[in-house]
Amino acid sequence: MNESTRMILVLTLIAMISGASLSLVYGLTEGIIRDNLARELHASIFQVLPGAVDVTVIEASGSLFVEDDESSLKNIDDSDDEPLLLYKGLDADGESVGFAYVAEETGYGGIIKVMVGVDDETEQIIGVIILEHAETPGIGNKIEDESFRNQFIGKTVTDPIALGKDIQGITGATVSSRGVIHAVQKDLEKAIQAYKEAN
Amino acid sequence: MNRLSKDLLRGLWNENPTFRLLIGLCPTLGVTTSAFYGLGMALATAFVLICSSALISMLKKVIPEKVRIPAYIIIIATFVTIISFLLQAYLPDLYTALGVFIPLIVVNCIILGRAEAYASKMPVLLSIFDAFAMGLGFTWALTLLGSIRELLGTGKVFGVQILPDGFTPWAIMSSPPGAFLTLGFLLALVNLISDKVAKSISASRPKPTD
Repeated sequence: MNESTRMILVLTLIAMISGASLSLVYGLTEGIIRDNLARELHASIFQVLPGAVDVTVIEASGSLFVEDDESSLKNIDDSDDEPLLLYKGLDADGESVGFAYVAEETGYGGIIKVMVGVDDETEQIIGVIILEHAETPGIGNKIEDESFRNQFIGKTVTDPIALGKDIQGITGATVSSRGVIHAVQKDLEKAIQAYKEAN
Repeated sequence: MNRLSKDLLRGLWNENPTFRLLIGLCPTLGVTTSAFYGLGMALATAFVLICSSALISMLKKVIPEKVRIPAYIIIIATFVTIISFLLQAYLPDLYTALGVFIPLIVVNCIILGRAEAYASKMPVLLSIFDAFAMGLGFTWALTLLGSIRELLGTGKVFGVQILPDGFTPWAIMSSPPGAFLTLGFLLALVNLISDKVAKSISASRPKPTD
C-alpha cells in the first residue's frame, strides 16, 4: 500500500469511528439534555408567573402581525422566521394566570435575554427575569438583582419606562440597565396582541 | 516507581502547564472566576487529555506521520464533543458557565502539546500517567486561581462564605484584570519557590572532586 492511500485510509477510518462514537453519545444524552432545557424553561416561567403550576405553549406565527400599513410589514421582516412563543401559565384549577415570552436586546457585553411575565387581564407586567447575559461581573450583572427587576412589575404598554425616572438604573451600568429596559419593552405590545388573537 | 514519581512531579510542578510552561492560558484566565468553574474546566480538560493521550499512544504506529496533526485534532475534538454532551446532560449549570471554553478545549495547547511531545512516542500506560499528571497539575493551578479570585471577588470559596460580612468584595478580581493580577502574583511565588528549591539542592549536593 503506498503512502497516500494509507494516509487517506487512516484519516477516513478515524473520522468514521469518531462520527460513530459521537452519534452514540449524542443518542444517549439527547433526551436528558432536552429534559434539562425544558425544566429550566419551566422554572423560569414559574418564576415570572407567580401561581402557575403548568404551562401551555402558544406559537404565534408571523402571519398574526400582517397588517396593511408599511411599518407593521417591516416588523414582519425583522422577526423573519422566528415565531413568537407565548407560554401560558395555568394554576392548579387550569385557570390562566398570565403568559410569558422571551425577548432579547444587546447589552454591554453581549445579548441580554429576558423573560417577561404578563397578567392577561390587566396586561400589566408581573415578573421579569434575566435568562442570559454577558454583562460585567460585579457591575452589570446586578441586572439579575431582584431590586432592579421588580421595578418593572405593574408597568403596562402605555406606561413610560424611562431609565432614571421610572426605572432606577444600576450605578455604573447604564448600558446594561438600558439593555434590559429595551428587551422588556421590545415585544410587549406584540406579545399582548398575539396572545389576544390566539385566544 | 522512581520514574512515575518523577513524571508526577513534572506535571505538578517542574513542567506545570500553567505556572511553568505558561500554556493553555486562555481558559486559565477566562473561566477562573470561581473555584468551582476552575475545577470543572480543569477536570474537563484532564478528561480529554487522558483519553486522547491514551488513544494517540495506541495508534502511534497506525497514524502516518504526515497526517498526524489532523488525526490528533479529530481524536481530541471527538472527546471534547463527548464531554460537552455529558456536561450538558449531567451538569448543565457548569456547562452554561463554561460556555465557549468547552469547545475551545480542542485547541488547548496542553493537549496537542502532550500528544506531540509524549503520547506519540511513548507506550500507552506511561502516556496515560503523563496525561494524568499534567491534568492534575492543570487542575490544582486552575482551582487555586479560581479560589483566590472567588475569595477576593465575592468573599466565598466554592460558594461557602469565608470572609466576614463586613468584607467589601473586590469587583476587579471577578473580572478579567483580576485573572492577570492573580496569575502574575502566583507566577512570582512559584518562581520564588523554584529558585529556593534549586539553590538548596545545589548547595546540599557535594562538590564534584577532581
